[in-house]
Amino acid sequence: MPSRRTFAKSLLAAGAALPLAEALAQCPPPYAQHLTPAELERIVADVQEVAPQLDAFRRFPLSNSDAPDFV
Amino acid sequence: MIDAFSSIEDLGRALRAKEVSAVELARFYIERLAKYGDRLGAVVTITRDRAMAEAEAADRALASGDNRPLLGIPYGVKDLLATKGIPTTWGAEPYRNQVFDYDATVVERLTNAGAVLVAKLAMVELAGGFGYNNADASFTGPGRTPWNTGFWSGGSSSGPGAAVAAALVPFAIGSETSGSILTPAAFSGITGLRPTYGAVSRHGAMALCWTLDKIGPMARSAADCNTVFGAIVGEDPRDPTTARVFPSGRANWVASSVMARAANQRKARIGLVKGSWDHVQPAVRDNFLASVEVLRAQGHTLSEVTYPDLPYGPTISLIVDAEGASAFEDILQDGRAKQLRAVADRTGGFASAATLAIDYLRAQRVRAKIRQALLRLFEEVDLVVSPTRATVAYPVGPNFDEVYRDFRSGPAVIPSMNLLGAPCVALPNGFGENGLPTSIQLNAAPAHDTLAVNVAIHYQSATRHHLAKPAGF
Repeated sequence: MPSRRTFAKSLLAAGAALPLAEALAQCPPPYAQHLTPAELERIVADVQEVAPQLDAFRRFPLSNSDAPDFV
Repeated sequence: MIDAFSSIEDLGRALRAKEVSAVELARFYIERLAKYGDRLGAVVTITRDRAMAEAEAADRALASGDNRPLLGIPYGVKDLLATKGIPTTWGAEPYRNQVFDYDATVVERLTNAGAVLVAKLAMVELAGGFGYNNADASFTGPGRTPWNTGFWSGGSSSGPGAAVAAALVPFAIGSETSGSILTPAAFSGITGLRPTYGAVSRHGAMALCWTLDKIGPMARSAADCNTVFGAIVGEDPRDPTTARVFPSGRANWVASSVMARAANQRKARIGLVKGSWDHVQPAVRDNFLASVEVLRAQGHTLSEVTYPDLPYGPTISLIVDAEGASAFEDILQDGRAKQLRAVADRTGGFASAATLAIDYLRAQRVRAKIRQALLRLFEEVDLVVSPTRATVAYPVGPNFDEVYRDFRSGPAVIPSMNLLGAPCVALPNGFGENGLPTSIQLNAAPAHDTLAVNVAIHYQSATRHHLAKPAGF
């Protein structure tokens, strides 16, 4: 069943390596149905642009006891 | 003859002396809103009928000797605050015809204080949550600073910034998730108070990011901001954060007239953020250093502080992306997000919807580290001070990343202090390129709003930047 999770995974995969056409094919409703190929390409480019910062962020050291702070 | 640029205190004095009535004052500012509002892209709706009814009630109260400080004072609110029976558009085409049947708590409190709502003011669509990159990001068009209308008034509280700067209203209410009060205050040359997270109820305010959104006053002086703050601060059972985070907000508030007394001037340990003025525009740097000398002359203890090196940018981006995509899930699911004005906003929300839960939670976990580090900084100093923005206002037209490429802020003070939930006052401190204003920001530890305001009020007692008036208004 299409879900946001598969949409997210497809975009992240697209940001990493996946060719655009394949990424588009993987993007399910309810989100991707509203996007043109050009718009999806823009999103993929955005994701690619921030991918190094996201990778670095994922390496920021945290321990099991570091709980989230929702304020 | 009414001076549109009068302070709240002076307008109140004129009302109580019967030099002007509340109805006359409301009509006066409504005429200014009608005359200049479109030119500045500052106004969504003039609330004429409500204003007249509230002004008539204020005149009756004044006649009975009521002397509340905001009684009969006109004001505007950013168009993300619900107002009963009046459109609340959130600056965005998909919500253009939205009408609520109740008032936001902030509006309710200002009504109870006797203030007169004259306008719903323009804003960047959805408070900028979908990543706009251009001043033209509202269905009302770009907000323009009255100091030079070829330039932006700042966002996302673009209408409050422009309207207060041009004296279309004596004060306004804005909101900030990360910079949306401070930036328009800086670009429009006015004073903005971002309260401690949880100090002011957000009931009835558009949510962009539940763990970051804050509501605060924007006016021409810190004293006026504080007077308004006194009317809106405090617990509200309809916004549980007000009880959980800052329950003593109302009890801690001190009237501006009391704070302004020389004997009540507080001396603070001020930390100047190292690196925050090294790569900014020359006038921003010069005006900042001149402001520092004013603070030094007033007896504050100044030192340079090294800002903790932590991933503020990715942390706040992931939080805003995830919460923003959730808050506006409806227009992402049905595709109305494509109706947004800014090109970046039409796809930004879809990209945000791809944020993984594990990344969002990681961001909130890193946030805890950030809060610990910044609270340690506030053990060394009382105020953290830097230029508010590295440059003067962006021009209307080009994308933000196409201009001012030689300048940068250094440490990310605005995002980090928002992650902490810290209060801040942004103050005009001179002018730079193209006749545009510059600004300095005074950040205090959470729940120490009064200290930042106290220092700001006394700074403005020794300077005249906040009294400057843009030509042609």
